[in-house]
Amino acid sequence: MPANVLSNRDTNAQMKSASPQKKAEKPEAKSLDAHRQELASRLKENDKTQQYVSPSDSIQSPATQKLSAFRNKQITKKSKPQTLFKSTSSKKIESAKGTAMFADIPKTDQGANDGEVNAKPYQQSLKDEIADLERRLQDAKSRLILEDEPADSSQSTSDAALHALLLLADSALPLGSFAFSSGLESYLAHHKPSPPSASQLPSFHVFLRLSLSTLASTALPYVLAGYRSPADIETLDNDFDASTPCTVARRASIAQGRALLAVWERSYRTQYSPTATNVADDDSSPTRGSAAAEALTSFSAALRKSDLINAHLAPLWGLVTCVLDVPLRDAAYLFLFSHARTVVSAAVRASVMGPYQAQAELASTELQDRIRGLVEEGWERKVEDAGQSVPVMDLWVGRHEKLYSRIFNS
Amino acid sequence: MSFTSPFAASTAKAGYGSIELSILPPDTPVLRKVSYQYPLKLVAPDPLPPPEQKTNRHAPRLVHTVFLLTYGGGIVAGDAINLSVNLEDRTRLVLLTQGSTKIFKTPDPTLVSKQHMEVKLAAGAALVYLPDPVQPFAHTAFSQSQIYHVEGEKSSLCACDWVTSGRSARGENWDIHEYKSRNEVWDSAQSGKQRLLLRDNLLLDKHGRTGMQPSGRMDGYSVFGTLILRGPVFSSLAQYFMDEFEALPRIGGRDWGDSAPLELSPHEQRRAQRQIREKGDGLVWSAANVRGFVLVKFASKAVEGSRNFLRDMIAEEGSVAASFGERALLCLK
Repeated sequence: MPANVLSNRDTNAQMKSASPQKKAEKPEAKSLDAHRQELASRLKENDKTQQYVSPSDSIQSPATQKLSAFRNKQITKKSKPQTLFKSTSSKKIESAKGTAMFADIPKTDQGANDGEVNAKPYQQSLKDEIADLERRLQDAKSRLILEDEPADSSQSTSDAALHALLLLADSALPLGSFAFSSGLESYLAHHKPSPPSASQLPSFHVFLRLSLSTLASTALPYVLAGYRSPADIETLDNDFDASTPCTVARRASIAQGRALLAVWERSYRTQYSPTATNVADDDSSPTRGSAAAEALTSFSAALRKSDLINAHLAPLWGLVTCVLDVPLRDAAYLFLFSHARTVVSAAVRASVMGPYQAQAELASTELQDRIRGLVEEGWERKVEDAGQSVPVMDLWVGRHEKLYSRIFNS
Repeated sequence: MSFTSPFAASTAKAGYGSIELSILPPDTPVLRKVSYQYPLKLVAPDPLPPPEQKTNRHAPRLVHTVFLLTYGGGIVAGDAINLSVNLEDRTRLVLLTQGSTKIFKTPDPTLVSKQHMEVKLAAGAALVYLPDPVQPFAHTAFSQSQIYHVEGEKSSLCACDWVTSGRSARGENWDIHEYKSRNEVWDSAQSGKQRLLLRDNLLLDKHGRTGMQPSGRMDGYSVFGTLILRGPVFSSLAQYFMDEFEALPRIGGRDWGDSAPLELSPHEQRRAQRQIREKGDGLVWSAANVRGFVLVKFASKAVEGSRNFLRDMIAEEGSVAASFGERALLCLK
């Protein structure tokens, strides 16, 4: 919008209808930019003489033609289809003589109507004011090396969060999750259908429920804690490692956690990491997101030095979603949903179901309700109270190593 | 007529107990303190010298045994038991029970019985805690926690925590309100901040949105248990569990008959026999070596299956019996 204000216009464009619309768009903007726009549009309103001379000027749709006829109080005249060059050749060329012909430049004030004499000093003062404001704007801008308008950024917060959520909802994430079935493969091997041809779908449904329940009771508290207290990430990582008593599950969690960290470092960091100037210039204390970004950066630095740090997925998921400013509830929901999607997709590759059925599973309201319920249930659960709610799951996952043939890593 | 007791007022609180095992110089381990208060009861029979004393010069002269009992043989709704155990360097303790810990039904699901045990193991101390399983009856709410504080790599721990589905003869099958069991091992070697080494937390309650009864979540198993092994005294036992897990037959594998039946060593014969029995008992187990621990998880269709498994494994390997005496395996007999 701002770029259009002073530029050339088509004669068909309605100046008077355009300016109130613009006001409605940015009623609260208080920046210098907005003031400048306001002044410029008022100047435009005064400048009624602005006309363009073009052969196509009189090509109008019948409706526009009728409207313009009204405006020109020519309603008494019978409106007839006009010939292409009629008005141009008869009137406008006459009046436009002496100025640039057929050019898309506005006519100067000389060929103006009767309001010209009064308007001119007023315009001059406005123009001076604009020049002054522009200078001050430049001045302010040079002092403030920052994004344009704070109002704008707050307006688009939810959009940014949605964008980050969509980024994280990529089916490729958690990176490498396609290699893990979270115990499904082992579960199916422990539950051979009695005639080998029978469907494994019912037992899959049982597994999906148990698997989500397990994840919600063991890992979800760490997601929430990672989001809520970014500074504790190393403790959380250690405690989660201590609470994962199974080599296979541990391996899967670490592989995906490190992959997430790599995605953060290589792809998201440049975009989401706050610059030093930003933090320093901000009057308010460092935001939650920037604190989390610092915690994440120092964590990934510590990971390279220390053997005690593992980088498990759950606490890192909380931390990364915090940095990307995704609302916590959405982050938790997505964590559980991603797990469900991973398990369902593993089921497709394990020939339990077809891809359409898999999508139906994911789309089902049953799954929605379950995930929402689990997030609700675990919302207040502390990290210390995280634990295994399905003890046999540890055995299935742990015995994955003993399978004769495997297509997954867990 | 007022009567003044000539004895100091008791400071012990109901359900509280304490065991302290120290060294009487130069090298005699003694129970410095065994105190308990109703409903908890501790019984300490005479200590015995460990069988390995003749072969191992570093073995302590005596191994103490303490039985954890409760009046009435179980825990009534609302009971809270609180036991603290302190083992000094070069001491060895065996903690046992006399029969499964029964949990009696609660009038109200929110009234939770609790049992808490806090154990401090100095570097060089060793604890064997091989109790009978916890047996929560129908409509019970029980929460127990075993917290171990070790000092570095030298503290040795062998602790088992197992639970059954209730009185299966009466048809009870995980008809509980709530069962929670927490095992934590903390490293207190570094001064100041403690570091969590292991947390094994079992939560059986109504949560989880599975839409299933607790019995449905158990996949038909009646016993679940965890065995935690750590430290130099149990390193050979830990390795034994890992080796046996590695030697388990592959799930879904087939015998094509091309591997010629070799002459089996006595050890392999025992292994084969045990594996046949495991199959008959419906026992599944897994072992994992994480963070300096070996964690064994097992489940079986009936209590005897798990009991047989633990006894066979620990007895076959033999180091626990050698270091602590046959008594250490009393609950697995």
